[in-house]
Amino acid sequence: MADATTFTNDTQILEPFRGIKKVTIEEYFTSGHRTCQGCESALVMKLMVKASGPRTIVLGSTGCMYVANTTYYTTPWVVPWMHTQLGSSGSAALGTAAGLKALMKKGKMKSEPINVIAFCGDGGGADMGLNGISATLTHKDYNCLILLYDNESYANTDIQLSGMTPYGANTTFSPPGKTHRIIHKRWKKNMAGMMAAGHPECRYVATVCASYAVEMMNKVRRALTIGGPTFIHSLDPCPKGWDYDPMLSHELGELAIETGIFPLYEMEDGELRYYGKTKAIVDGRARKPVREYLLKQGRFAHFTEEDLAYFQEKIDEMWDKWEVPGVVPFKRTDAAKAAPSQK
Amino acid sequence: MSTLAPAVSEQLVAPWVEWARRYTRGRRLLEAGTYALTEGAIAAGCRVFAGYPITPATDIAEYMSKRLPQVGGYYVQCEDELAGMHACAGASLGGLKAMTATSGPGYTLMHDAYGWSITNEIPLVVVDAMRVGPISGITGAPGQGEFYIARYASHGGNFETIVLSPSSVQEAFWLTIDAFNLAERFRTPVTILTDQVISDMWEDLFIPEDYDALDFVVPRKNNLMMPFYPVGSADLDVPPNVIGHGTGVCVSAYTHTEEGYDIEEMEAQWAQTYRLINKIRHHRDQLTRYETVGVEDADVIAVAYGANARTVKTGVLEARRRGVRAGFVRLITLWPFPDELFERDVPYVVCELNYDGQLVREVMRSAPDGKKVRFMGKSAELHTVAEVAAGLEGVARTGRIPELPYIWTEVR
Repeated sequence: MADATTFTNDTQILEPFRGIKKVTIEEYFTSGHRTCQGCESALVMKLMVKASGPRTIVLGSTGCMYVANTTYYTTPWVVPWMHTQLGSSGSAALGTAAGLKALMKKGKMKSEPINVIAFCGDGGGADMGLNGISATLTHKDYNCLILLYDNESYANTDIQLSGMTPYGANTTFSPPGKTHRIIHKRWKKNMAGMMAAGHPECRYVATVCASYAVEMMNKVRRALTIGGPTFIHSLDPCPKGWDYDPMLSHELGELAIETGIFPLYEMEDGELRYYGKTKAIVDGRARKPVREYLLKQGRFAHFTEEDLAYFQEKIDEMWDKWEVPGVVPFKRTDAAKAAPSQK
Repeated sequence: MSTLAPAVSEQLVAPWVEWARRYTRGRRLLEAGTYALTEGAIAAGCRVFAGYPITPATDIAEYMSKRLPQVGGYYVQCEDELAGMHACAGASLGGLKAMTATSGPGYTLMHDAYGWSITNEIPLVVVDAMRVGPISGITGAPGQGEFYIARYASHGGNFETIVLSPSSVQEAFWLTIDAFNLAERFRTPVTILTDQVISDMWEDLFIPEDYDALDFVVPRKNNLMMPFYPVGSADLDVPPNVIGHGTGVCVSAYTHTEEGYDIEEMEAQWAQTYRLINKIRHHRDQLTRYETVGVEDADVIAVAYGANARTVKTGVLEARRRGVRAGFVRLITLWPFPDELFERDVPYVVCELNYDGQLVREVMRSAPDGKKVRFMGKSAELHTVAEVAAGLEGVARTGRIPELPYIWTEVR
């Protein structure tokens, strides 16, 4: 890994943490934030910047983690942090990386690798900011990591539907009623798959979950070491939006993976590698039924057996019929290739 | 306080004065401004809402997501405000009345779609619940920073806009119906400039029981006779709607002929822009809504709109109690600007919720003597009655507004 460089700028060489005991003690996201009890996104922020180290700039577009982090003279940030307009996280990261590069090139600041991380929510990243992120991933000359924290709703404005909200979930924009039980009928976007498949010069795309903290940090370190524009998608259980006891945050993250709803993988230079429990699923381990995950959350409390069966069927399809299971939703044309269902 | 004040003439010029008199059977509720805006839209026949959450307009979308399925309408959640307004424009072209709601940051994103809707004469309604800025500002504080942006809502010039502003929850209900009527009548997007106070405030609200019985609601008209003019012609001041009911249609953002085809001829450009402007300028008598208090004998007249007008009005009455002959003008129609309300050659004191001085510039332009126009700008907070009374007293007695904390008086 030591020889990993970017196309132009050098990156910081961040070796992976070999186990929890090797993780650095320093915190760059400390006390002083006002996120909810059990907030996984705050944990993702903390681990992300712990992984990236002190020479890091964090920025991103409006989201719950932005309104919760610099209010009334309090902030948990030790590293520089920038709150940009909604939808601009990709573009702002590109601009920041370009600005640093230009200053270093002209000798106006000390030449050193500085990590630029755009931390954006699912609303600001996958809905409104999708174009900016997509464009940034084609600019291979600039080192920046875009980390999408996906709590599956607009948690900033009090839990509205986003393009990443799962099918049928109860949000303030999709309240279930007697006549229409399922208001939200759109299936969630496949964000990491889209980024990986659509941006050939983006060298690193990964999905992570903070329930597996060390692996999550190592993915961030790998993305920053590889350089160029990179993308990480993190699934963050949200006690308020998902309506569950805050103590279950980690468990829900694990269940999302064990049920196969959220696959963990990394794509480095076009090579796909599943990891963690997802690797076991791909290798043939049985997936847990989705009802274990869904029924622990109040936002799916109105689901009937029929809805659960539909959800299960869509997830089965993702693993049994997709060309690259869990990643690329092109259906297999050759039926013989299809693996038997692993319900 | 008002019982102590001397008798003073009050006048409200708006179509809902008559509506409220005619429709008295209904429900009396304690509800929020966002609820009133939603119900007004439903009453006016709005059946599509496409939007994006933003404080303080999120509640409108929330109410809509609940109400529209109940009346056979469609609620669409979009990925941003630009998409929201384009979806509404598409819905309107498709034949249904449509509305979107946002706040300042989203309103600026909508301007591309706004201009497109103006040039293609697409009727729809946009609610902008103004909050203090610049940019994101404070989500829970009122502002009046979009007075000019609502007028010049697109690039390129050569257009007029219709902008209305309510100052109570009840008025928000009637005014929303009126906005839909004007959008249909003049085939143009209409902006409702409300603010955080009006949107979030809970107040007494009367809602008529049967929306279908409201005979003043302008229905969506469709002209199925050939030849049809999707975008109107020079002879026809406001064309009937032809879209969405099986008629062929050609809609383009470029300068177009009356049939809707792109054209790069000066005559076509002049014909189109004359019509876009004149359809509104020539009908100002149908567009002006306002409220006045004691302007006939006033020595000094306070001017305001929106939530702010409520305290300003009380301030005017307080000034009268203190012996100042003060008058009050509340604009409901902000654009086209009602110049005729400022014909009296007296000092005007313009109270608005920004330090830029937006409304005051228009009053300066339309008043007989612009030098007599004074500005009391405040940011993020309504004017207090004491401030307004002190300002009016100062102007009436010394010609100047006294020094008051956080009140900006300079217009440059």
